[in-house]
Amino acid sequence: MGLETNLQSFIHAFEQGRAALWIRRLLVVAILGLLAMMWFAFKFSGFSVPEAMDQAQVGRQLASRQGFTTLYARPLAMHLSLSRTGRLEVPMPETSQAPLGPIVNAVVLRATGMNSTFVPGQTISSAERAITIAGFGFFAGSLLLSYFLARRLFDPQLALLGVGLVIITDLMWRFSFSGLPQMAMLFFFTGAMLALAAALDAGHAQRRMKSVLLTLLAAFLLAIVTLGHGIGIWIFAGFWVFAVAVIRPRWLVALAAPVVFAAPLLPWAWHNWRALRNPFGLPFYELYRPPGGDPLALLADLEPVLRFNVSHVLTNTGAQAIEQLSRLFTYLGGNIVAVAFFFAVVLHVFRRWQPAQFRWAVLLMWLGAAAGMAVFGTGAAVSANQLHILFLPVMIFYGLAFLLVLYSRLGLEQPLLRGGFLAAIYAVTAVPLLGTVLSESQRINWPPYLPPLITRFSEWVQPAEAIAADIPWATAWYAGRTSLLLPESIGQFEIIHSEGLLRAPLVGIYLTPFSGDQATYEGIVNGRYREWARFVLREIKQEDLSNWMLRSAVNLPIDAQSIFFTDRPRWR
Amino acid sequence: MIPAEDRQVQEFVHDIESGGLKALILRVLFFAVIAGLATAYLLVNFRGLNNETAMDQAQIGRQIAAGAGYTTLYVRPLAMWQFLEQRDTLPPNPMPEIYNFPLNPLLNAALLRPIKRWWPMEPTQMIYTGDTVIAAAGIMLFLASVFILFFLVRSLFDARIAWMTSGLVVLTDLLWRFSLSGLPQMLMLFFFSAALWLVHRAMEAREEQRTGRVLLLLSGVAVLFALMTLAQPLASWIFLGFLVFVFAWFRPHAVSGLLVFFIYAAIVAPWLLRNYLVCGNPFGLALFSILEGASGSEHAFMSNLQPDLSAFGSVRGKLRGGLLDQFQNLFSYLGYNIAAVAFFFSLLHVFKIGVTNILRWGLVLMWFFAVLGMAAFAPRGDVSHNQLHVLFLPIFIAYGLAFLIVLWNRMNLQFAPARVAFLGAIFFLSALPMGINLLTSPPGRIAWPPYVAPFIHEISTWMDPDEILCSDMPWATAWYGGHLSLLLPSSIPQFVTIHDYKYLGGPVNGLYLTPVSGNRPFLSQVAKGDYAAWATFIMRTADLSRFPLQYFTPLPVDNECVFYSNRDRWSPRE
Repeated sequence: MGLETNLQSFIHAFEQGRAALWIRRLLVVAILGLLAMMWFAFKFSGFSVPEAMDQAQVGRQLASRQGFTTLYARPLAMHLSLSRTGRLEVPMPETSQAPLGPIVNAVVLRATGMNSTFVPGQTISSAERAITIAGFGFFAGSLLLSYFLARRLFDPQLALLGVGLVIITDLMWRFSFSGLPQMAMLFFFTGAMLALAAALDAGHAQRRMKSVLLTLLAAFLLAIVTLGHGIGIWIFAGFWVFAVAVIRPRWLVALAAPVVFAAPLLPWAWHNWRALRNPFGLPFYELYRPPGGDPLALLADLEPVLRFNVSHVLTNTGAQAIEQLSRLFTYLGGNIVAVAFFFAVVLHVFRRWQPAQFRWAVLLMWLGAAAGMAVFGTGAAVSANQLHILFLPVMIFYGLAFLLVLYSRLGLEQPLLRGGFLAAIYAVTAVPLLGTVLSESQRINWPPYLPPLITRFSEWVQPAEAIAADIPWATAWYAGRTSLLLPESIGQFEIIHSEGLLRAPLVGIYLTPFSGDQATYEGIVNGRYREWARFVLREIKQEDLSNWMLRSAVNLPIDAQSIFFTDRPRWR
Repeated sequence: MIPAEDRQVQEFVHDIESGGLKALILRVLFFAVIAGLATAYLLVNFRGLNNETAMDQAQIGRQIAAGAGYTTLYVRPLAMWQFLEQRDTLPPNPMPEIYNFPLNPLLNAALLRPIKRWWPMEPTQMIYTGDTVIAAAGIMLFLASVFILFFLVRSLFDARIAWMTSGLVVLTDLLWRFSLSGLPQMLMLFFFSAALWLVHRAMEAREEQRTGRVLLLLSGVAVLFALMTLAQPLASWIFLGFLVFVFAWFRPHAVSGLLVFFIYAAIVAPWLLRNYLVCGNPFGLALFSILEGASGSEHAFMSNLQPDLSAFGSVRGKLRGGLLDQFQNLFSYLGYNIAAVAFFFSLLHVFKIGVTNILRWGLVLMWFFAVLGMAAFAPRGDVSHNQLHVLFLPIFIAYGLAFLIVLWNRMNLQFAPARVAFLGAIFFLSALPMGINLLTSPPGRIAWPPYVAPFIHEISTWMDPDEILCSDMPWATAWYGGHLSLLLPSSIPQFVTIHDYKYLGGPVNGLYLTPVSGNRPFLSQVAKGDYAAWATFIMRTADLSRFPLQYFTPLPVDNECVFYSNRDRWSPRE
């Protein structure tokens, strides 16, 4: 009798009780582990986003105790530094990247020994693997926090289902393995939202001081998010509006939250001020870009005409807003459940007050982020400015809740049908991931990156020398040499060399398909590379170089699509 | 006692607020908006046709209108191969057209015939008259489709939703861009809207168990789907979805399905037979479009006189990419219309009227098959020949809007301004792409790059009638220049062969290169890819001493075009 009772209890627990919940949790963790292994083993082919390489090399500078400096020299930063401070420090202070990513990278590189060399046959450096493991760690941590957030807002079952949907969203994995700081930001952002949700609960229970303290904790965590990317300020703006409207006493939140938010940002602002006399650093000058202009062209100009024009800003913002709108589904990872969030926000009455109230916080913060991305541009689905990704988990929870409510209204109670419905949601969500799984894996991100070759520049170019490149972020990271962004004109290149602005002679130019695969006339002959067109189009002959500072040239793999101009045949 | 004059004013105000006058004012406003938008798009936004297929079909239409039969001035080397596979010699010029299906060219012919005196382009003309007429016809077809849609939606839901749906459809930028494109989509939309209206009637007849009426109405639908297929063969995929729906829903299942199939086949088959008799392939060259993205571009294949048919082996690999591309770009293919997106969520709602629910699943079936078709024959951009999502856009908007209104009503907010704000927000979001397009479109009246219609026409006047012009945009030189135009062959030897042996009845004495080739990525497509054989010509560094065309001149805009010839045709003569 006792045995039977125990067995029945076990079966009951297995079917409906804690055992079932734990089995589901284990299943989710197993899927997470399997996907992580697949990415590590087959899908990760090294960094492919310029900002990831840039932040990695800045992280290495930090780890090697050279401060928040960079090997990637942008002519615009050199111009601003010279014209406003009258000096040009070497190594150059980093004024383009936010510090969170480099700091995380520095910690990882210190812990793993900073091995960024390649052994023969190796195409991905150990350092990149270490950085992506950290990215995955932040992703896993974010999932845990997301689970707690969803459990607080909805219920454990929905939380687990939602986390499962986040895990099978391809874009999350792409970011985890990109080397970008988004996963670290996601971790702190989810923490901030959890704190805010807890603050709402505390406020509801009339525990005002606890509510305010939790709100301030959220503001602090959002400051860390902003240290990952400056657009975080726009997210905070949305947060502040919500917090002031909801958390009491309002005056205290209104005053204290900005202070707590600003405090961690001050050292970074001071660093930028010292280097450029501008607390916002180099990204601020995106606002000076003429409509239709290439952002890199502005950075590459040593003698820029910087005129702030409101109509230019508005035109760029309008164009970038429509671009963002057109790619919103891609930015949300092709996740139809996340799209349902927008319907859930406006057109659904949640029974419980927490999700009903909290959705406005999510919407306001997202609107802030979207506004920031419209002003500064977003780029590809996996890119430094893409911050929609931070909202993806919470949007999925809301969207899923909405879809489940719609389903329940159909009155189809059979568990099989309900299971089929959930399976359909999972299947549609997993389509992009399925595409990735079935696609052929790349070993390198060519074109234009060929890390084992770029590493060779560390042998061809001495530490006291510098090179110019169309992908200086890659040469700085893989070769560890001071790398100048190919200036706007040959004249500027010669000035930087002859005036010794980098305190190192420019001994080479490395050109890759990054410039060579631009539109032939619009991009090269009449565009950004017009001054360098003969170099980019490979029309320079050996005799043309005989009277110039770089007299030798060699075609480089793959298929001679890269070329290295240098002062002497350093490759021999 | 209220004076009579005051009473009249009050009655007038009451009429405006709640009476028939309000409805009248709204309708007048609606039609005024339509007229305003049509004017803005056609007279301000329109810069001439800017789509390859549209220009190609326009020049075929002009050939028909000129009494030259179903022939083309745009010669693809692959077409020459196809003809030579079937017979010993090429057909005389102008060659029979074997790429495009006939309905849109026929419509163009009907439109161009009355304006025959304006066919030659004036040197000062920025927009070709033919372009304007075709675009105006596209707008008329679009508005006619909205008209049919209104009655369909009124039957599915109610008059209010029908009016609002019509408003949202009219505010969707993508539909206007298609209207101006010269592509067959608006003609197809007209047939599709009519087909859906008939399907709805047939479904009602089925509920009333009037089998004869059902079969009659389904026959009409089959005719409309066949006409759609004759406008764009990819519509056959939508028909497949419809066929499954007919077999599954209508009774008697087999009779309904077979009747629809045979009527459809009876209308489409003669065209396939014509193609077979002309070139030995019932689908003509259209089938080769499937190679786009499989092992290179469609152009690379079309430009080859000796094609490698093993490329068909790579088709399976591209289907996955085709599906993913549609999945990721669905929002732009649906015109960024939030109500259209809501259609997919409306599948989780049961509408009160049974037929309305069932038709929705029929739509899902047709759309699903269209997606499969587009995976194989991928759209190249949101306004392109193979983009069929746009056909579903209006009806998706109707269902999506109805669903959104149901959700709103469930919230039970007893505050009228909030409802107005909600509907206003839907209209605002749907109209946002239109506003941005109209307000931020670049100045100028040409579709540059790559098209500058007056220059293209001018170059054609440099050629004698029996000479052949070769170009990377032969569809444009055929349309604006009215000159027999050869697609740039895949290699120089092929060009020389066609030139020396006068394959086309005359020498190829002009070569016109534009940003179509010149703005390709340099290393991957010019130096090494599709245009590798012509790289030195594109870069103007070719050694012309052993080439038939030894003279060249750069041409506007910004010298991004170049014209090679056997003699100097551009210098003013003494």
